[in-house]
Amino acid sequence: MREITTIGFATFGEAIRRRILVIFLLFAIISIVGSQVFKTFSPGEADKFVVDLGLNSIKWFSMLIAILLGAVMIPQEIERKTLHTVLAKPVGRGQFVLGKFFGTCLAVLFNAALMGVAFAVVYVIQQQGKDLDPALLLQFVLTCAELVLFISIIIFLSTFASTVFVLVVSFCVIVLGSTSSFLGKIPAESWISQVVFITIGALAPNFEVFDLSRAILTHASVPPDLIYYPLTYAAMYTSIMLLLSFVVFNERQF
Amino acid sequence: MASDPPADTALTGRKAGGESSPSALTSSAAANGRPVIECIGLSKCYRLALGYEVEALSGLDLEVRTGEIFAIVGPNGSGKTTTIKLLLGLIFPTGGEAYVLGEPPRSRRAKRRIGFVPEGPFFYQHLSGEEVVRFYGRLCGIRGRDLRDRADELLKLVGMSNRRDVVMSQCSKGMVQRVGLAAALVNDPDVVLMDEPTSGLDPIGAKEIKDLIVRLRDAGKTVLLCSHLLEQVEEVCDRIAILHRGRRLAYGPLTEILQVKDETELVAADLPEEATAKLAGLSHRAEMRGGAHRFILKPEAGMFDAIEIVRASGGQLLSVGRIRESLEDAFIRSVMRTATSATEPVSTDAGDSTLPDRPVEQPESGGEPT
Repeated sequence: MREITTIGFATFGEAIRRRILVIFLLFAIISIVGSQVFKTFSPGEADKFVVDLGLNSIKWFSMLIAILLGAVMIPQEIERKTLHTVLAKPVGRGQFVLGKFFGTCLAVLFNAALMGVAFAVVYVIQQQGKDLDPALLLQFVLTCAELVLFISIIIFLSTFASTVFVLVVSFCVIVLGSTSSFLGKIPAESWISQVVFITIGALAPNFEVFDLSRAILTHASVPPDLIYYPLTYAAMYTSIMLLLSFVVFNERQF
Repeated sequence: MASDPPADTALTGRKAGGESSPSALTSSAAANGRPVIECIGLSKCYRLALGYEVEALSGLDLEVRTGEIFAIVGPNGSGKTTTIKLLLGLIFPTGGEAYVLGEPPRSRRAKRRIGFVPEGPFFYQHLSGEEVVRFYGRLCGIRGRDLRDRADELLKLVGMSNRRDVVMSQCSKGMVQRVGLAAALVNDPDVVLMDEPTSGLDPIGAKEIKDLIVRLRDAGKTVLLCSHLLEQVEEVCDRIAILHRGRRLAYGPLTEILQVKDETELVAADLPEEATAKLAGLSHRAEMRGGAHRFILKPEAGMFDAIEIVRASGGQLLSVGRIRESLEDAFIRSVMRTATSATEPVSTDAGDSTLPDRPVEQPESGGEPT
């Protein structure tokens, strides 16, 4: 466990110093704060505009940060041979992968938290001092779970593929994950394409289960299953991805 | 670096992370009659595209014994780094076996007692030298005050104590190499594997590393050194293996591998011209080097006659004796012999089957691994 946290904190320290990450963070915060300015473009729906833009900024900028960090973490260690000195110590390959996963999650969630604080400030100003809607906090928790799941996919890919491949496939995963519920319903011309769509739909992560926007905008109470199901789903999907990562990384040669 | 006596405790000191004593592991390996490092027919093929394969290492047999400096030498692509990677479990053999401290290469128990200095190490750029040493110390299970003290000792040992706060991104190549050495020694290893440890260092830095290698041996550590810098290896190692294209060309104590030539060298200073001319007449090579005359005497020339010429002229005799070939000479001889064997036509005569399919070995005193 100590090995995992040692590698994780070193990864976190390295990650938060990346300029590209700071740039994305700034863009996200500008976007969240800018929603106060741009809400005038949607008169009568200012609340919806601020919430939509804020939550989407947190999610999509965090995903971009996850891709840019996760895609380089392991391939760069292999390329620079830092991995050799780490694995020459009494550190298991599984511990190394978990450490990288842990560090990447810390860095991404740290940035998401900063964006979340910016959003909370903007929201409270918009609501003229009213308390934060609890559904917003739940949405933030689910977004974090979604990010952890997404990072586990990136880490899995990066255990065997190059940075460019991981970047490309990660973007595809975002697209598939955001549309996976439609994939099985797409009318196919042949049974082969039908099977392909259904298979991809079943294997791709379903990011839609993490979306509480309807409950937030209607100020309805959030049923417990809308929280427990996505959290369980994220935990299981992440566990499977990490297990696959161990298996692949354990057989790799450096 | 070497002039810092208190730092020597860093080489002999504590045991990391409360784990089993390293000397216990070493001595258990020794008690079993097993060497510290053992390769038995170790082979590695890399698969390329279209089914092609490159044989990086072919049937390597070697033993490294407790407390010796063993060097694997050879040109680039000879299989040195491949051997180190196999011993660290970073790659897997396609044939044969390897053991470090009696354990398979991927054993974490053995890795607690191994230090590794890679060629041109690269560390997390945001960490300072001290933080790098601490990072690797934590990976070895060292914590708290022990870790702090250990980092202090090692940074002093490698001459980085005054520059401990410089982050890796601002360190010179030599500084990074020194930090790499400290990081490798943080767990007080019994076995230190070094891949081109003086790579990128200036002559002073290289000398310091060489001195440190000798001090490691003196402190009871076993050092396996890979290098293509033959002169440096020659100065420090006890036994060597010469590799070429993945094959072992020679193996054994340095003193046995380096042949004594049938030539006598005489070095003298303050020689008058007449004596110089006489000695030149007895030599097939004469040169001035560092203010002294160096003569390689002809085989038929009498060594005592030459000494008498120096004495009679009032010159100063600095040295006289048989010439031992350098490691570079031995290496080239081994490679040339292999090349000759490889180009020799294979006899179709059934009685003439003496053409070796493997390079001819040097005689050994230590015996082959079984």
